[in-house]
Amino acid sequence: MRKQGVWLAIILMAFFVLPSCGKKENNIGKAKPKTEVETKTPPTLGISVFRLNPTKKTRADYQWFCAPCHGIFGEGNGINSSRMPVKPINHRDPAIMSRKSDKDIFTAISHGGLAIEKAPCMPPFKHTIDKKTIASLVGYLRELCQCEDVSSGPSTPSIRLM
Amino acid sequence: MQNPGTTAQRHKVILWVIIIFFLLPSCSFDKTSRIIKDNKCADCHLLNPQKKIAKEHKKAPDLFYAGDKFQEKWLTEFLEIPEIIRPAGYITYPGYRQGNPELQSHIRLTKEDALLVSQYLLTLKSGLLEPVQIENQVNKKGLARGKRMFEGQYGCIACHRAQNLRGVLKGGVSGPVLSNAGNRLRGSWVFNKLKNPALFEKKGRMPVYKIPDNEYLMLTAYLMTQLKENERR
Repeated sequence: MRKQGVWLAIILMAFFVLPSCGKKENNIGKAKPKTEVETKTPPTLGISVFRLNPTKKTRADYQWFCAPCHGIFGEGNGINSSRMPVKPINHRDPAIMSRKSDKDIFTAISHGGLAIEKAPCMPPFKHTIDKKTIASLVGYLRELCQCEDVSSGPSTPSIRLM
Repeated sequence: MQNPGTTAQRHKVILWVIIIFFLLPSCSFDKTSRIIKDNKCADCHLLNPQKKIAKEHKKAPDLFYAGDKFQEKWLTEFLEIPEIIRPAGYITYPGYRQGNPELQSHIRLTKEDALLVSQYLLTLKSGLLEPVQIENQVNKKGLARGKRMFEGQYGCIACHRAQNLRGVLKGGVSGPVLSNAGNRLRGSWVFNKLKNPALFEKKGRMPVYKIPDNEYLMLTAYLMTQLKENERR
């Protein structure tokens, strides 16, 4: 009778106590690398290439979303420009645009000006414009400035997105 | 036994009641629809969501959710004495992006007609609004945060004109003026527009911000403090 009681206690321990310990251990195990990732690596955009060749739709999208601030010809003189504390970038200026990498331009369009330590007047479009369109806008801006990113060497236009 | 004279009188009364309750309101409705038809409101504004118009053919904002969006007093006054809401013109106008707006003068209605039309417009509701309480939900600190989000963090001021602390107008002109948002708009509509712009406009220029509800609330509460009477002239 006594032996039976001991066995019952062992079985109960195995079912209830051990799994909960394991769960805790797992949680600790999972939580540690997550905090390391959060602190050490910058947020990824989940994309390998930041530029696509522009299409007719890209030009229309530029006129729809970008032209009110950057101007219909991309010269930074859109209808809002004179009323903004920081003037929008002239997309036709190769001196300015060649200092920006495709990734920087992509990040500025998707995450807003603040993401590349520029003015917050440039809003984030990541929930408004899809990644492919943003990449094709990067391509269109390179077409407007007739320049390449000189900081990291010329990048090759590609169609492959992750 | 009932007096035949009394019965006839009763019938007369019932007849008048029918006229007053059923026919007169329909007369005023007829009058409203005649005003709307005569002034060709539906040529520019979409009053019925079932009627699809391509974005490029639209000439003015949709009004099929006017009851969700506008405050009665402002709407009636606007129909009588219109004011400029979009300094760069409506977004589909070809001169819009060139800073060459065609600020069409909106039709002016008489006081009586303005009241009838605004009462009709306020019955137009989308039924899509997420119910939300704005009044007394945000304290002074939250309002200050809303201002910082509007002018800084989210860059709303790049496109929308609003008042600064001294009542001076500043900001872009591509979007509607918001310096009188507290007179013109309903808080619940502003909240829903910020949270889900596609509810009202499938393809607008307004960026979508996926931010926590309390931030939408602070932004909305801040915008509702923008009153025309505080504007410095």
